[in-house]
Amino acid sequence: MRVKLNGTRGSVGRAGPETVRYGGDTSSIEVTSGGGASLVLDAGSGVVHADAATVTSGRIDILLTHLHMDHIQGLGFFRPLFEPDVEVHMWGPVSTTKSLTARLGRYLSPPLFPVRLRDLPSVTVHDLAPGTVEIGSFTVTAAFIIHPGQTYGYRIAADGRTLAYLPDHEPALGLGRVPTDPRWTSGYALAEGVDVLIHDAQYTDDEYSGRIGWGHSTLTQALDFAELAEVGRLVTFHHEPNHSDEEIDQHHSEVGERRQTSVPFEAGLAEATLQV
Amino acid sequence: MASQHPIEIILARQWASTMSHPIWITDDAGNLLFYNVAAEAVLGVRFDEAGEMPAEQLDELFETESLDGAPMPAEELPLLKALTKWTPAHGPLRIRGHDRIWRNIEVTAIPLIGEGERRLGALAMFWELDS
Repeated sequence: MRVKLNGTRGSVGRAGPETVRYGGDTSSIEVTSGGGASLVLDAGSGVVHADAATVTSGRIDILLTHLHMDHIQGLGFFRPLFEPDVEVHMWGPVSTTKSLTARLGRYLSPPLFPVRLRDLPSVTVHDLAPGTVEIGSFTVTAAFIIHPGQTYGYRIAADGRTLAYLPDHEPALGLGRVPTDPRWTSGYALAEGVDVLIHDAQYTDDEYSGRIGWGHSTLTQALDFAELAEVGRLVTFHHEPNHSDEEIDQHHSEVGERRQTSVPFEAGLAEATLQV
Repeated sequence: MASQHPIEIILARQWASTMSHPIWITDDAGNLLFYNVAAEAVLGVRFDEAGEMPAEQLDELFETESLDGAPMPAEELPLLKALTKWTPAHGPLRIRGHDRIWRNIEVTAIPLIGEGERRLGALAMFWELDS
């Protein structure tokens, strides 16, 4: 399984010379199995860099963790949505109040966007219930995780390998730290024992104290969570838009020096490709 | 994958931990998942000592009866009403925990239903009517 990080920035795009390596595009990754099938996870502005963005026929599956703008703002600029010979399937969290079509339609309609969702040539929208579904050669497990509004984390299995993608996640909410009991830890069942965990690490410890409840984690908390779930490798994600490449490097280096950890970790680089 | 409580239950516990009135949380089968410090005073035993408990063992933790001392059918308990009818329920009763003292309380129980209409459990808040 191959994972391409097409957008790693959190909250809002941040393009400039100080964000070249970790990138300015918002959340989107692409997972490709050994057989060549692929999934797109989230459609922030980074989705335009997906390999799938150039296809003109076939099927594309897009899994949305939630509908905050930094995870869907690239949809309107994802060319396959306008290709009549591309069958696009969009999956996202079920809601009791409104269908996923209705919720996505609030963005993909005037005045926010000139083209309506219903006018796209071949899009099927799936209200995804928590649980496990087979999508092509992938086994996808979705579960609600702690983040404001209905938000999924995903566990993806293919080729005998596993990936967990929890780009926006605050497992420390309420306690001020990540719990030590797996049964009482948001996201644990998704991340348990995966080969690679892609996880929110937006804040420094100092920043978090003023942003509790905003739905994000610190690098320290991401490492605590990764250790609890005994993952093979942690790739941090959803980088704070106010952090430069240099600041991200420095923070990861400081935390790495400060604590002994059993989990190798690195900051997710823009357009990096990971072999799982 | 390992058993993990749904986040709605996790968040309910964290919220309950911050409240000053007694709160009791069960899963959809009525198994005890958590009660807070304020509930410990009524039940006479710390949650850390009691721990999570199957529904069929709960009579080891407390007894209940109606305010006039008559036996109270289990199906009349607000928490069980919330779990079986999946609607809120409210009512008075007497409870006796490990300290063997009968207390008059009022209970409000609400079902916990997550997105996707998932029936996750119930939460009971109770207040002592006198001491």
